[in-house]
Amino acid sequence: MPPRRVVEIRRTLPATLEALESFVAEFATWAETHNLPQRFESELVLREALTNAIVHGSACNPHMLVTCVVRLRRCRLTIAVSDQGPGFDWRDRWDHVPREMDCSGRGVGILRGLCHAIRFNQSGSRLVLVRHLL
Amino acid sequence: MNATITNPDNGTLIYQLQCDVVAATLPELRSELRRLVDEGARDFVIDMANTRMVDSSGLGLLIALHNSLKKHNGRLSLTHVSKDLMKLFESMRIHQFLTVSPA
Repeated sequence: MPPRRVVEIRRTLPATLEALESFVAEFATWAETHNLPQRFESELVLREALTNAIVHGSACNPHMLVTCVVRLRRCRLTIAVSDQGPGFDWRDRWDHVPREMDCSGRGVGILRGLCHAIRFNQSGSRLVLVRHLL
Repeated sequence: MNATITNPDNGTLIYQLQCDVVAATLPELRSELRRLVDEGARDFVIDMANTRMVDSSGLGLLIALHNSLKKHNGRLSLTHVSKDLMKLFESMRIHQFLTVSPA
């Protein structure tokens, strides 16, 4: 069972894929410590949020920073990711359905399929995801 | 280190992945897979027994490989796919145009 109290990890990372992998490894240990259910889905959602911030929001610029907070309270997992980039028109991507041969455009679809709530700020530089774990 | 085995009877190339297919591993994987297709691989099987995670960019790479092989009348199959990845592929409808078989 997940913990009754709120537990969280909060990190500020350089916008690199190496930093993403290190943080995901830390998340995996944290998830195991707190008996997080649905770890695959939660890790995937975390990866999508961070990749979006690092690759699209920050162009993998190691001098830019990405902030991530992962919070677990009972069976509610919240992931909040912010980047320092100019943002993007998330409304334009929201209903996009990729065609069979499209090699990109599946990230938002994955988030929509696995999250119970998704919130972008106005500019698209901050994303908050909620998963209910039971 | 990813390994390749070619079946001498039918020319099928089996690519034994030893890593996740995610944004960080993409550049090296893309380059390796491109080289194999350029060298003539057409019946391509990716053994995913040691692959735990595929993200959206990884899905893009698999689809790009499928598209390349299709242009040359080849095909892509994914084998030994974990339960978690099977669910992901089904939700993304990848299984509708790639042959995907479970672990």
